[in-house]
Amino acid sequence: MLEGNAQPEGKPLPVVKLGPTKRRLRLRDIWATRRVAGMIGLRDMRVKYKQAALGPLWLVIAPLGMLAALTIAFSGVTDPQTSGIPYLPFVLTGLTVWTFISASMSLGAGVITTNGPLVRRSPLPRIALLGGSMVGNLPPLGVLLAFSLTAAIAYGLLPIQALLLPFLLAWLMIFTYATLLLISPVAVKYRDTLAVVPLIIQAGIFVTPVGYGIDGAPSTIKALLILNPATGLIEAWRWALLDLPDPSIAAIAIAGGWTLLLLVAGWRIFGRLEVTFADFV
Amino acid sequence: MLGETISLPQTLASLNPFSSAPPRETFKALSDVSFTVQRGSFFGIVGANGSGKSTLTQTISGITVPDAGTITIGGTILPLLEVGAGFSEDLTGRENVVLLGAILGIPSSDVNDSIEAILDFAGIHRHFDTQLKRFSSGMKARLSFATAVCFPADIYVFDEVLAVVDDDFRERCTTEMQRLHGEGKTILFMSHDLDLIGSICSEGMWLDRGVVRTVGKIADVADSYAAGAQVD
Repeated sequence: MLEGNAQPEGKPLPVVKLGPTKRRLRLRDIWATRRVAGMIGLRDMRVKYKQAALGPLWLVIAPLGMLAALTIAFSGVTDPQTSGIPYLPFVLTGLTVWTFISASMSLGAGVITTNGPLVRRSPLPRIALLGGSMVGNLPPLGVLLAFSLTAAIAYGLLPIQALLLPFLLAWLMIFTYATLLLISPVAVKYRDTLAVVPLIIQAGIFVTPVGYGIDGAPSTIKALLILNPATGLIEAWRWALLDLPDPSIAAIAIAGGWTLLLLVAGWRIFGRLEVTFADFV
Repeated sequence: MLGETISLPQTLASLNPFSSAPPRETFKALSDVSFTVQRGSFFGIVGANGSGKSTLTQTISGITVPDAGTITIGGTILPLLEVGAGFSEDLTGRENVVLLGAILGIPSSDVNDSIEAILDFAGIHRHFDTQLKRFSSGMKARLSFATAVCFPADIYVFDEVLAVVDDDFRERCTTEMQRLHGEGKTILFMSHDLDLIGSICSEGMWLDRGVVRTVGKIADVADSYAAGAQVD
């Protein structure tokens, strides 16, 4: 800047220094970028239902389709071990949690790559893309949550601990965000990640108690199932919304541990790798 | 192979302790680049394809970080590094303008204040609420440029953005950039078009294969570029 140059509007200009750095991410960036994250989520939503004859009706049709498939497969063919809870509210609660996790993962894993032109050509804060892919999945979550609550009320199951729902929603969000923090930066450099995610999602619905309960499973199988973080989340949700008797405390604790682990690892990895996104995407 | 960083043969080679894989090739897009742009100047950066202009603009705009050195920027910066950068084909013109404003971190009130000027400048009133994919490439370019110059900032960075528009619109763009310059804004303008740089910029720099060859008055830069380009 010119020395002694009178500033035209008399206001000091913000000075930014850019240099070699391994990390430039700060926690407050998540909050500071909420507007653009929201708009990117809105963009994804709009794009999804533009030029679709049924448009947002798919928000209702898609979960009903999954509900029918799960009901036929698990309730129709096998004995789903619901601990005495009617199957409809039981499966809806599992589906609510699972759909949000899987849809956010499938949209969020490749979010840096699919927004490649933005990442290479605009100063968009990269962290906003993660929030954006979660915002884009809020409408399906809302629909399934409404279904779940309606079913829980209709069957007269909704217990007092349902008041904990805001905490459960927050936990679900944080867990999903943490997963995206970890996988989306890795997917920029290693596209293998984009091949793994559909596998996790497709196989995951069988090894996650979405359409069945873990209570009646043989102890070795049950021990394996509770290592899955989604199991603990679903157990907690079923306990809160359907008064699931004797939820697996171990599964819930393990899911909590996973959340913390993913959050710490994801934050470090995202912060480390985001400065290289424009070079690798 | 340069650029291909991950592959199965490489993974296998890295697992084999006896393999003697060749070291990974690297490429320096910029090296030892050092220059100062005075506040309020119209600064042109000229260089052939592959001279590092785009890497430089990416670094200045905070899109990628340098391996060494620092960049000090006084003021808010608005980069337009590519025609249509930040636009989504499935959104309407209006939705794109609003989204781009958010991406660039411009307060929504400023975005709304700019919309009228953007419409006038781009001349697409009728099609503002049409999806971008129905736009002609010229309309896209006009909207993209109009958005960039109408949003408020202290420093504007344009990278090869006038290459795809017709002469008439290029004329209006240069007039608009000169108006911004007249208002005391700093403008960085990259091009391989020496005549264009020479006619609109006051100072400039010649970037050649990642190194600075000349910095200073635009006439000097133009002379040495013209001479140097002939020697090469």
